[in-house]
Parts: sequence; structure tokens; C-alpha cells
Amino acid sequence: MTEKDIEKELFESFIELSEERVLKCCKEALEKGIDAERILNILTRALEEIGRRYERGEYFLAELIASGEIMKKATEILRPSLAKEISSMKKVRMVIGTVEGDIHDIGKNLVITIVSSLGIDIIDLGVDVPAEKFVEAVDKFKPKIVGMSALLTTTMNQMKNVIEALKKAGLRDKVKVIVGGRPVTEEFAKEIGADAYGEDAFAARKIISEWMAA
Amino acid sequence: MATKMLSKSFRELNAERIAQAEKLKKPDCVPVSLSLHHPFLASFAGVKIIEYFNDPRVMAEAQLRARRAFFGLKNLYPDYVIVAEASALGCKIKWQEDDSPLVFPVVEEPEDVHKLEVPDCYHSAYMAVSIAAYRYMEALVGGENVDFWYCLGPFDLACLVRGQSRFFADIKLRPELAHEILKITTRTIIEWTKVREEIVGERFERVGLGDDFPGYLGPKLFKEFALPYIKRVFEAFPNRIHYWHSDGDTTSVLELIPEMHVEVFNNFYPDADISEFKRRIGNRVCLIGNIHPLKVMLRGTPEQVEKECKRQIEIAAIDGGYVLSTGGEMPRGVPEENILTMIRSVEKYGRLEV
Repeated sequence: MTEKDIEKELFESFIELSEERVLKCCKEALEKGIDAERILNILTRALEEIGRRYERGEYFLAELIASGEIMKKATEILRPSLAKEISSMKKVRMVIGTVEGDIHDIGKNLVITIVSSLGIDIIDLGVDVPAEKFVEAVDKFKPKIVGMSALLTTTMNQMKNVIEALKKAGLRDKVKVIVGGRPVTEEFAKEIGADAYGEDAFAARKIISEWMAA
Repeated sequence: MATKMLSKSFRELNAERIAQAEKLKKPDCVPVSLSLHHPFLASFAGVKIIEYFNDPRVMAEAQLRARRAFFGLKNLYPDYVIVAEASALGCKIKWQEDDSPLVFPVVEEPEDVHKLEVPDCYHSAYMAVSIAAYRYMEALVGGENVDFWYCLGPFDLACLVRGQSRFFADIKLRPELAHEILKITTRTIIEWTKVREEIVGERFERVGLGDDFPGYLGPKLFKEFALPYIKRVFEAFPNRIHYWHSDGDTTSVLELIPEMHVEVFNNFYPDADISEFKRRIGNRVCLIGNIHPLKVMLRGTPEQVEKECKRQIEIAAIDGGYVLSTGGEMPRGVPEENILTMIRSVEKYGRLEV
């Protein structure tokens, strides 16, 4: 296969969510000497196309989540070659988690998948994350953005606790806070002092891309 | 005294009207149903969730309090749904002081699927606790006032044992594993339902399953990974009324719901357009819903609740087969007056010409 063939196959196999083909292609592309950043760009473009298909109702949740898993595995293959470029490439860092008392991870993982197509460095704190863990992570990783997710009406109030804890630690002004999840609304986000509310993963991506451009 | 008599009469009439609506008939008045579970019930009774779960007497007393406040409309029930099914398959449960218990997956890696075993439901973890709670409640208020017919559905149980994101990824990337898990969760739910049927006896009239997530699969994957398994459970209980609850977005799979032998679709997607749901499946499935639990019940005024109840009754009740309720469960902190307003609205706006 020529370089062009490999690039085409990479793009198409990712859109078709063929994990085996995508990972094989990544390896072949590196062996052919294709720049890791260029491979990553192709994957990112494919991820954007998957997102568009989701928005058009052609793809659903399973496809989106699967694309996130494939992207993660592909990035692991590319990581050694990207290592040198990473510090200059990824200027914006985001810390994200599902708040304490809540173990629903779908919304958070969708945001990670969709927002990662912006080339942003995302640190996933997982689920059931207490306020102090968010504070520790902000202190340690110095992100520009903090994302919080909740599915339950009982746990969404934890978002306020995280913002209060960030204020108490003197870190609130150093980050932009975006919140989302089924019970969360624009009004609630304002009420608890968040900077933005992402109605879904695509809305979150749009807001974050605007913050990156500012 | 007069109020008490009126309340009792309303409860009985309401139950009869629900029975008619379940059969897609048109009762003389729209019935109303309350979806009340531990987040609302514990808070309404002024107890912490951990206290509510730790002692069946506290659970029963909390439920009785809501029953008394809302015209006797809510039967008592062992409120261990999710915890009972997931713990029986080996999921670790983390109890929280005043929040819902957390359930952690047991199939972390694909090979862990071999850890899953259809449980001995009589003696398994919180299924046994549920049975004990049922017997306590039955002795307290009589079996006719206790429900034991609702449990988690096979798809959501699969999401719990594997972890939601992982299970959705499995469906696309490891479909054999997803099917293997679903076969076990389906058998578990059938066994658990048989046990509850045995315990309740002749009064066991309904089989209810809750699956919030499969609507997000879209029609093609729904047909392969949700429909056959949910249908299998209902087919195992042919002479019962089949309730299916899903408050996820089911818009893309609506027409497939009757194919699963669902007769009643209850407390569904809160952002659903009730007129669209009624138009697309309302002549085949009884709809129970669908006042928005957050935007209207929690954050709205009694006037807004009344207005929305009137609007939905006018759209959905005209041909029967409709019960007024919420889209999903009542959240903690909903004002009592809003719930009373919802109940009163059926008498005020729901009189139907039969």
C-alpha cells in the first residue's frame, strides 16, 4: 500500500469502527515513516466525522463510545513517536470527572472522546470523585479547564462543593469550569458559579474550543 | 373522617381506572400514578437514605408516610431494586450516608465473564433482604398493599455488571461478550421474577422491568442487544401485565417497544414529546407519564404543575390507555403541594366521556 492508501484505509476503518484494521494501519503507517502527528490528525478527522454521523442520527451511543476506545488504543501505539512533540502540541489541559456519589461514566466518557478531537490533554479522574480529588488534580496538573458530570439529581449538588473547594484552595480563578449531565441546566450552572454548561458532548466541545481560541 | 372516606374511595377508583387504562380502555377519569422511590421517600420522611435501607421498619414507615400524604396511592414495596439484582451477580455495593447506593462492576476484564452465575435468588445477597422486607411489609399492611413486581431489566443489569461505557463499547467491539453477559442477566431476571411470583402468589399480576439505557443504541443495535432479551423475560410470564420503564431517550426505537410484548410503558424519557409518543405507539401500549420531574415537579410552582398536567391530559388521555405520572421518578425535594396538585388535576381535567 502507498502512503496515500494507508491514510485512506486508516480514515475509513476508523469510521467503520473496525478496531483491528485501525490499529494495524497505525502500526503500518509508522513503519512506512508517516509522521505520528499526521496519523493523529487523520484519526481526529475521522473522529469528527463519527461525531457528525452521531449528530445526524446515523450513529448512536455505542458507536461513539467504541470510537473513544479505539482512539485511546491508537494513541497508545502512536505515543512513543509523539512523545517529543507532545509538550509543544498539547498546550491546553483539562481535568474531568463524575462527581462524588455518582458512578455514571457515559456522559463523561463521551465528552472525553469528543473533546479529545481538539487535541487537548485530558486527565480523567474517573467516577465518584470527591471535591478534594478535583482540588488535588488542579493543583498537580495545572489544567485550564475542569469538567464535571453527574447523572443524578442527588449528586449534581456535589458540583457546587467542588467549586467551593477550588475557591477555598485559591484555585478557582485559575480554571474555567464546565458542567453537564442529565439533571444539570444552564440556570443550575450559573447558580453554582460554573463558567459554562454543556448540554451535550458537542456543546461542550464548542465551548472549550472557544475558550482555547480566546 | 369524611376526607378519609373520600381518600379511600379515590384510591380504589384510581386502581380500577389504572386497570382499565392498562388494557388500553378509556376509564371515566384519567388515573394517576406516583413513581416514588428511596431518594424522595427517605427525604420526605426525614430520614437518611442509609437509615431507610438499614432497617425495613424505617423503610416501611417512610413509605407509609408518603402513602398517607398522597391519598393512599402508593403501595409499599421492598425498595432494593438495582442493588438486589446487581449484588446477586457479584457487584460490590457501596452504601452512602444520604445518597443512592453505588454499584461497581464485576466484569472488569472480558475473561471475568466466567465469574457470573445465575444466582440462587432466595438466598442471594440483597434479593434475600428484599424477600425479608416484603414479608415484613405484608405482615404490616397486608399483601394487597405491597408491590413486588418491579425489578431491573436485563440490559441495565448488564450495564451494571460490566460498567456502562464498557458495555456499550462491547456491543460494537466485542459483541459475543455482550451477548454472553445479556444471556446471564436475562436468566437472572427470569429466575428472580419467578421467585417473587412464588412468594406473592395469586396477587402477582404484573411484571415490570426497568431499562434506562437501551434506547441509546438506535434501532439496529436495539433489535440485536435489547429487544430479544427483554422480550424473553416477558414471554416467560405470559399471563401477567407487562410494564417496561425506560427514562432514557427511546425516541429512535419507539415502534419496537410493543414488539417486546410491552403492554405498559411507564415513566419514560422526561423530554419526550407526549403527543409524538401517543401518536406513534399510544394505540398499542398504555402510556404512564410524563410530567417532567425536574423542570416541572421540582422547580415549578403548583400553577405550572397544574398547567402541564392539563396539557398532557388533553393530548394523551382522549382515547384512553393513559395514566398521568412523571417522566422518571419523583426527585428528592419535590414540594408536597406539587404532588397534590398533580393528583387533583386528574379529577379537575381528566373526566372522560365514556
